[in-house]
Amino acid sequence: MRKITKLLCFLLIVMMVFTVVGCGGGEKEPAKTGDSQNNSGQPSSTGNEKIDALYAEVANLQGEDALKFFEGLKDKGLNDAEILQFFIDLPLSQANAQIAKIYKDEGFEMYGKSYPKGETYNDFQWSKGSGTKITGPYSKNDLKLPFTDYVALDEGTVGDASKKYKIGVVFHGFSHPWLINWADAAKWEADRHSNVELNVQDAEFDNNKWASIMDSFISQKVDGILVWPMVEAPTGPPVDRALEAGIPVVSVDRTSGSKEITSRITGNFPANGAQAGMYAIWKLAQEGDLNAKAVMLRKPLGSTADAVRTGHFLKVLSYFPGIEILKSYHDTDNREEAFTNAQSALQAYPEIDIFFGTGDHEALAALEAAKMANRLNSRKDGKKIMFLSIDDSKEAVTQVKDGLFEVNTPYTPLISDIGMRVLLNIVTKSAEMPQDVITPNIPMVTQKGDVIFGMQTQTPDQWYEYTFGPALK
Amino acid sequence: MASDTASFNGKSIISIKFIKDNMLVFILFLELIMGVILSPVFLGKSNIYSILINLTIFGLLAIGQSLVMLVKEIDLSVGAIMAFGPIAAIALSKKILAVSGTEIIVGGNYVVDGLALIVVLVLFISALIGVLNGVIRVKAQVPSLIVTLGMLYVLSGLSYILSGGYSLYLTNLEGAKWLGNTKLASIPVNFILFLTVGVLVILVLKYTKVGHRIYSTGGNEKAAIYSGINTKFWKVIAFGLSGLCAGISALVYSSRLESVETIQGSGYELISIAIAVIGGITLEGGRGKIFGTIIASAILCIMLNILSLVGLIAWYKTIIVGLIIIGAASQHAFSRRTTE
Amino acid sequence: MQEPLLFLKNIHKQFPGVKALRGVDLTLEKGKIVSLVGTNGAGKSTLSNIIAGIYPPDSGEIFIEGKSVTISDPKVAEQLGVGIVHQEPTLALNMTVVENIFLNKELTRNRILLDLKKMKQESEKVLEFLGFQINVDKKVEELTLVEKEVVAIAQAMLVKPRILILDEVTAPLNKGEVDHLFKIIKDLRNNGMGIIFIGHKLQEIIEISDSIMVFRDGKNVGELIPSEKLSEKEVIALMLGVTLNEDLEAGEKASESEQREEVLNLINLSKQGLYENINFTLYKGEAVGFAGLKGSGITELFQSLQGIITFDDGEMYVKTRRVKFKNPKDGIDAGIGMVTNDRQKEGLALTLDVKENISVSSLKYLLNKLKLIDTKLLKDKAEKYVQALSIKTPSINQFVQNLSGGNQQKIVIAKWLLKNLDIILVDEPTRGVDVKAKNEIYKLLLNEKNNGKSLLVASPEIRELLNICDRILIVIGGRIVAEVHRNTKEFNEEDILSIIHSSHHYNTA
Repeated sequence: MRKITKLLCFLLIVMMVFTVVGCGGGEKEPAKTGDSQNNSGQPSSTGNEKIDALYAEVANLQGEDALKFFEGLKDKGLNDAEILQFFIDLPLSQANAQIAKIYKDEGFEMYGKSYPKGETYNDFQWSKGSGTKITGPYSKNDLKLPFTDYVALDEGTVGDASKKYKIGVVFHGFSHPWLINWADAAKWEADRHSNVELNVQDAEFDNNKWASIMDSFISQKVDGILVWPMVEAPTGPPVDRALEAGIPVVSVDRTSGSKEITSRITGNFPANGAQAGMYAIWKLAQEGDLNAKAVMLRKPLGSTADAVRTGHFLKVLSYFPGIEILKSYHDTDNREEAFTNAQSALQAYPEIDIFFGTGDHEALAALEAAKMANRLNSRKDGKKIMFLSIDDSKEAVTQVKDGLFEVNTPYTPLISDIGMRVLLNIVTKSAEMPQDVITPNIPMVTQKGDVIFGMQTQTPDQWYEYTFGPALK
Repeated sequence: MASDTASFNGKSIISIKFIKDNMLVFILFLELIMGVILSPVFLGKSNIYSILINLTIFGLLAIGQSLVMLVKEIDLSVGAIMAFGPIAAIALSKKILAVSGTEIIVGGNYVVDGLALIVVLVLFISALIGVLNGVIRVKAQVPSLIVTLGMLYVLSGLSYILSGGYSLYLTNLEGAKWLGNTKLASIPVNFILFLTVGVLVILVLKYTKVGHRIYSTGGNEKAAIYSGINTKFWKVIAFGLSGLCAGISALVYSSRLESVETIQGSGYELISIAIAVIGGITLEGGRGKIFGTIIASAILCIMLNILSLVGLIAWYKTIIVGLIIIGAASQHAFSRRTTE
Repeated sequence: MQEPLLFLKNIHKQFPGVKALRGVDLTLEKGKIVSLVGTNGAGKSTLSNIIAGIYPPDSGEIFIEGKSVTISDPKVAEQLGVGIVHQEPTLALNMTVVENIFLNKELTRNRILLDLKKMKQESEKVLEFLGFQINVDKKVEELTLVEKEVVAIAQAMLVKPRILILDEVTAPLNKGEVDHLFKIIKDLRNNGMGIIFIGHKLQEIIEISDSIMVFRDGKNVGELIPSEKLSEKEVIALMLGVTLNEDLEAGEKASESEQREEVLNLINLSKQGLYENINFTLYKGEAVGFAGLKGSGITELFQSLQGIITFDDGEMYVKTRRVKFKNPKDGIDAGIGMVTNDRQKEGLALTLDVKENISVSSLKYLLNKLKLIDTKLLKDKAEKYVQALSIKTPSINQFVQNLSGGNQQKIVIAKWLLKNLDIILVDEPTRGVDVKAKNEIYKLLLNEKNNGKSLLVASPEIRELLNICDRILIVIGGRIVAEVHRNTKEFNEEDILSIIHSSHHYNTA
């Protein structure tokens, strides 16, 4: 027996070494998801001829020239929304070789292509101050849903007033502040309609449980299902089973592995990354020096949020050869880890001009680490390090207000009400809905509500009421 | 002798004993009645399938865990094996088949070929990890709680490294769906597999020497050693079987969701321990039956299903599951005390 | 000449810290019963375990019917025809009688499937042969003590051994059962089996044996052939060796003090199943010994006196105050401390260092003005006791687990001395301790006694009690059956042992 076990152990070790070395530490071709769709969506074609023409002009510009071009967008007749769209769809430039290489190596092209983009439903434009104040039915948080006018649906019964519509909702995380607000918005919308009967289930971050809940909705023959899939691959088959059973399924925020899903409401990752890039360039121009060193503190490798945001951020920066990316650090959506990463970065690099965080954990951790290392104002001439934050926590928006974060580009969980309305429209057959429902872009939040490359941004006070989570003490 | 003293009250004592001995079956029965009353779809075909596949996934893990607990050890690595087994098997198959020019992964993360090799390797690697747990346990004399806890971390780290954190799609792999989605004579094949494993383990424990070895190793290791039994060997065997069961469970899981992901099975080690405990297996070793474990798997899965059908929020579900664990363990302890 | 069934030559065995066997020879002929007697730790069980293959000897040879054999594990022993009933129960309580009897000897059909029916029949047959009817499907944990012992014997009998070792099998049996068992043993002998019988009850031994091997300190020191004339006293004399009362010098000084101040008084103290109707009074400056075999209830009595377990009935007075301790802290508060017999488990924190162990239960005397631990004072005290007790340690910062058994024991004692208690309970003060350390510990205890402390001492080594104590109480089956004072002529090892080893006291208990 001893011989056998020794042999087995040896074999196992050999196998592990073999496979670990073979996989080169996980450097892998990027995930190619949803490859059948969006192949038409070339990044340089927006369907807006005005903007397409501009891309041809900007293609060979770099550095100061590119900056000048960006600064002149307003004069070229673009409105705020078009300016943002310009930066979102901006093609990658080869001007900054390092950035171009990162962009290629990490396969950001693929991620960018497969992420749903396009016009909002009925060309809806979001305006500041719009939306509805609610108290979260689950969290009891005071919230303001920004998009209640989008795919609007009147209060009261839907469809056949004498019929009860059974809607199942499956997501993860009644214990998670962002996700419970996601559930809040969906429930609020459902509660506005007296003949909608809701069953909300938490799969507690277990995809097998998620699938079981889907199956139990199918056996209950619900009329429609609203889902938050944590990851793509394992959520495809259950969604397909529901579709096979004739039950429409709508996903909100993340996407499932199903290509046939009835409808999907996606957030605005591209706008997040692009605006962080816009702000960085604009700010450097204000300071009068387009040379800068940036550290990227990022979410888990391979997550859509990380790839799409970072990709769009880097695209804007790629026109400026003076920008150097010092390093990317990944964490597992964990603030402690992000903090350790930020500390390592501060240790390793005596000069850091920009911290870009792909989530608010990362930016907040970087700020803490910089404070602790006494490096907050460590740039040339005592200038403050720039912190570019994404996501939507009250804490991050407050940091912008206090001048510690330069910018925050919001990403809100309060979009599931859109998904619920889309689903109800489908279930009651009252309106034709597209497969991709795009969430309107939200302008970034800056301390003074600056105008950046002609685009009006929001002040922290203007956005604060929309932020998610419990009130800060 | 002493045993005769209990016969003074004839029938009633027998019936109490009967209920006590078959408590789990009664609870299961009650649950079924509850399910029928609370939800009209409970007995629907698709709902039953949904229960059965969970029963298979958790039940297999729990059977393996029970074997380990019978030899007075514990295996915290089963959940991690569920992810590591398939991920390592696919990574290895990719290397092996690349030699013959077959590329089994296309488009970054779609597995399209090599199913047979992958299945064999999943089972082999999972069993091997179990054996490794056992060997470290008996050779290094480290408590299994610590060995397998360490293994849990090592495996989840390796899973991330091997997969880069990406999920793998099995949707384009012919035959991958079979185990998780096919029915034979309207019985899901995965459930048939589970029953086969369960019955096989029960029979082997009852009708071959293996059972005596495992029960004596866990019940009184010294007595077993004095009888010339190599208790270390049997501990390694129990760990190996537990790994193997986790591997089978991983196959069902991945087949059902047609994917492999790094976080699959995480936390399942605790569920498997909970089921074993509900089924009457104790941490002191040598006590309890696999039949109990199988019934307990059904109790837990059906309870979760009912709670989900009636639309209870997850918080209440976890409370109920917790109460079931404590209640069941207390009941087992009580019934043992009263028979002694 | 026929070769002996079993012949052991010059067997040595050492365990960490103990030389268990130092050159033992043994001959067992076919159809004979050889008994092994000796005090606890004399090496009887070690020898039987070697024959049964539990562990190998360090050196020496084993011959079975003239052939040199190596008994590497219990299975080999079984194949050689050795059956053994161990002193400690080696049954799997979670399994049934039949499963235990056939443990690792299962019968199978076609080598895979168990032959449950046949095993059941065979078990019943063996039990019937032994004269007991036990439901073989019952779990062993549901059996009585006697039944368990019978199952253990059945287990050994199953393989029809040529050599049968019975290690203390009669302890839980009553007179009738013992007689019955002896009849079977004699039958087996008459059928040619060689039997090694280990026991404490000398009367039984003399009754059943063909010869008696006497063990002392890991050696066999003599062989006695039972006859009408052989008395228990002769056996005991050989067990103890000739050097009786050798170091009584220390004890002489320990004469009774004249002021008879009562410090502890017990009236009809009882605890069900452990001890009953214990009556005695302990005076200031007095040392009282408790003599008895393992399981006689002395340890539990001591535990009750300190509050580790509670007594059921009776009254307990400490300095005329009636008390009933609920936990050891109550005992310590009332001035009673216990030096346990299992110091590794109960008396010491092995992973702490010397000074911490010495001071652990007296921290409240070692506080400074701020009510914090005065580390300086703590170190001073620890140093003082390390010197006073001549504890051999490189420093007071040494981890206790690295010290020898004797020094560990001294630390346990030091721990209680530091507390300045009135009554010290000492359970087997010199277990696993070498001769030199033994003497030091005796001196230490006598010194405390002379300082006015009262001692209760329990020990299986009668000589130890003779050394320290003013009187000795003999406990059998949880009762005090006799009291021997220092100034009476029975105050010697021989007489006390013969009281302990006389079987009629047992079976009435």
